[in-house]
Amino acid sequence: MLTATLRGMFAHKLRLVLTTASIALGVAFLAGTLILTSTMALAFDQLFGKVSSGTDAVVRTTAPYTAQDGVGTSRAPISASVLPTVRKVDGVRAAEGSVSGYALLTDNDGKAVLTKGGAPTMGYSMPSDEKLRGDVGLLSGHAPHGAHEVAIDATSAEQHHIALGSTIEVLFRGPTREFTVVGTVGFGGEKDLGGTTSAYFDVPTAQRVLGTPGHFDTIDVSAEDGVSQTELAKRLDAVAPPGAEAVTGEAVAQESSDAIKENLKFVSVLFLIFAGIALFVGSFIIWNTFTMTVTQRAREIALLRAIGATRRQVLRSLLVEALVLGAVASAVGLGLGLAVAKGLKVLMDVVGFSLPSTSLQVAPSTIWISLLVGTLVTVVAALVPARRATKVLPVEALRESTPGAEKPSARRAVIGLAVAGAGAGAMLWSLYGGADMKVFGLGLLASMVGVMVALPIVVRPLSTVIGMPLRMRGLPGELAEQNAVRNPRRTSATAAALMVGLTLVVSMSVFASSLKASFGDVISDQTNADLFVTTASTQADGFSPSVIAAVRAVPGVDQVSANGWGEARFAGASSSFSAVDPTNAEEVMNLGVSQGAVGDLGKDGVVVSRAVANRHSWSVGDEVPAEFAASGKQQLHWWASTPQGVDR
Amino acid sequence: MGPSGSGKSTLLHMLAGLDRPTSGEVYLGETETTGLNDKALTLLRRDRIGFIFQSFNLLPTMTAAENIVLPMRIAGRRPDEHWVASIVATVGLEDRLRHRPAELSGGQQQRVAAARALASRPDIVFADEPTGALDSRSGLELLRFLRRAVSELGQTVVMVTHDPTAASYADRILFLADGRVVGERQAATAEEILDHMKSLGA
Repeated sequence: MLTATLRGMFAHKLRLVLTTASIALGVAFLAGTLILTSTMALAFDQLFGKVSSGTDAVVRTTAPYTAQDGVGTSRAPISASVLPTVRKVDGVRAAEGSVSGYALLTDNDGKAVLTKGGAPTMGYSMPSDEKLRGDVGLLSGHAPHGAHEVAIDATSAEQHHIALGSTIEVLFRGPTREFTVVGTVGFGGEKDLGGTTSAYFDVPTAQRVLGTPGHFDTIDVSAEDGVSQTELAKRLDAVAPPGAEAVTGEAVAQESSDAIKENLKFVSVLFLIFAGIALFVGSFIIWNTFTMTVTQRAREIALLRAIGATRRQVLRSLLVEALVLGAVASAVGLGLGLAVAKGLKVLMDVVGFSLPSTSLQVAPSTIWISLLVGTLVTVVAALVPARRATKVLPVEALRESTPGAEKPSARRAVIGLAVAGAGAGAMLWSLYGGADMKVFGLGLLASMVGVMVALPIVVRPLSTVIGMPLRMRGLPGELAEQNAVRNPRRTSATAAALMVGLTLVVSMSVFASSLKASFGDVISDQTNADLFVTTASTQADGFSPSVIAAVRAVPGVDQVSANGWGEARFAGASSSFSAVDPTNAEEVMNLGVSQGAVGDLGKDGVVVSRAVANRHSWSVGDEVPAEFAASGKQQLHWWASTPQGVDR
Repeated sequence: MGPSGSGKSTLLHMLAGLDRPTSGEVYLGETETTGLNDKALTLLRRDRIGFIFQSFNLLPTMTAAENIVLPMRIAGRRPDEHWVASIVATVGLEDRLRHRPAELSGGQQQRVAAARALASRPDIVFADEPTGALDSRSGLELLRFLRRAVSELGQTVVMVTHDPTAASYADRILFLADGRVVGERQAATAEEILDHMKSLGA
């Protein structure tokens, strides 16, 4: 029987190639995504491992709670007075304060050095201890010293022709300053950190321009030989003041790497959705092919049944065919996946998520997941046609005419409509009843399957309606209509494949246009502003307040309202917030204040949405418990409510 | 034997366990086939019945040799090499065994089908209009082979035909018309059979 199966497959080479391709494409996307994900994971682990390789332990303040914003959890700076204590700890070879923050480089013409795809523009302190620098190494020049020297990443220097010795301006959250470029920096073989621009200053300068004088973000510690990271961290933790902690360098590298991976997770999810769609379409092609195969081979199957093949043997032979096809197609797909991963990597480079270079990683799990998923999808898709094959009667081998199509049953229609109805219900439930979005996905799937099951029933009436104008064209039109009606199942199978394809195209374009529309809506609904001045990088934490004065001075500007935003916990729940200028916020934004006034906000006032205020039954003047990652718990007073978000 | 529409093929299908009668019983030896379920009936066809169809019904993707041993392969049994070789020699297919059905003439294909039917030593071979799609010379060769299978190998063969020449090779002839047995003859020449047919028609 196996020989018969395999010979049958190779007898239809073109069909074989097409079906293989349909599954292989889906698997290629899946494998490509998995390969890219593990490559990314390894690359970032390596990168952060290298960069912080000289740091054995880090002393920092404890975070009030874990919030994912940018790279890692934000926490309050640590007082510089802790540094001498740390240096005295037994086993500490060197310890230095470290500061980082927003720094936007400009080129020789004073134009901003921008990043692609929203990579941040960063400034860092450069440790004077070489080992503490880790893999951050000077490629040319020397380390910055004093208030007027900067070292920049080699990519920025090369791309913008910033030579050593030239003077550039660097923008901070505070006033803009001029620096002389004294060195270029590389990162363990890379010329930049994943697309980020970097500016390095000596520690006191970094404190002044990036952070707060008298404070560090963290204190980085290098151990003496023979002292382990864990041991060092333990000793440091013992002397750390209240509210501070010591962790190993490895743990910090892992945290940073995990945070970046978390940020890039959406990329994997997006690609996996594509893979899922491709496999779904692929399963349709398989289903269709096997249905065709079974119909074409009805006589062969009947012969096998007549000369003694049992139903189970027939079923098994078709499933073996699907298994072989699925396994081969998945293997091909896995191979293509390498190319897809390379392509996706290039694509990500182009949009600015440049990844540290590592060879593509094919994890064992990638191999078996790809093979298993591809094979399983193929076999499951072939199951229904294979079962139909077992219903071929042995007498059909003796009949000269091809068997007529069976009449679509009423039971089928009822089941199909029930499934479609349940699916539609689930979709409505998740849209209006507050159910999870996963319910929507399941509902969508169910209603599509339901429609496909019920489709043969409506082929006849539908074809009659569609055929009406055709009949006026005479005999060819009539024949066309009758052919469509003759085998409702075949017609509906073809229509279903088309339906799935069309569903995908339509949903993609609806998704794209609503994404565009909703951004536009949000902006035009919530503000009256004509122009927005924003940072060059979406990940930057802000720019200098001096910009406000500069903008205000431009002729034709009526109102300037500064805005800030972030994430914090209000009454125990995480929420994003905006900081507004109470004096003119109402003129610039459509807050639609329903109670109280924004002008009353003062130093500790908060505006919340009406729904939130009602839930907590707050009234004007009540205290709102809030907790900020950097500054801890604060008591705010509720002054006004709006239909929208939480504002301070 | 009987004219078109007399029910010959329907009778054969019921006898061979391919179709079920609405009433009545069919026995193959001691076994009542009408009472068997689908699986048992399938195994009965596999192990005890051989088929020769009008349209050959060979698997196009397999060689002649593979088609001949197909029923035994389905049953998972090893073919009896000597027996198969002797049948292949009898039908004269020794040099065509590596060919696919598409590379064989109609007569050769039907001889492959005949060899397949006999290869598993069935209790009974059912042949449904085996010469229907053959030219007269190939048809005669096949009939001679079936005759030898009966005389020399002791094989029971039940053949349905409306061709008096084909019927003249049989030991016993049943005449059917409108679904009923209307006559029976022992071995006879084609002319005698034709005359009998005419008398039935009158």
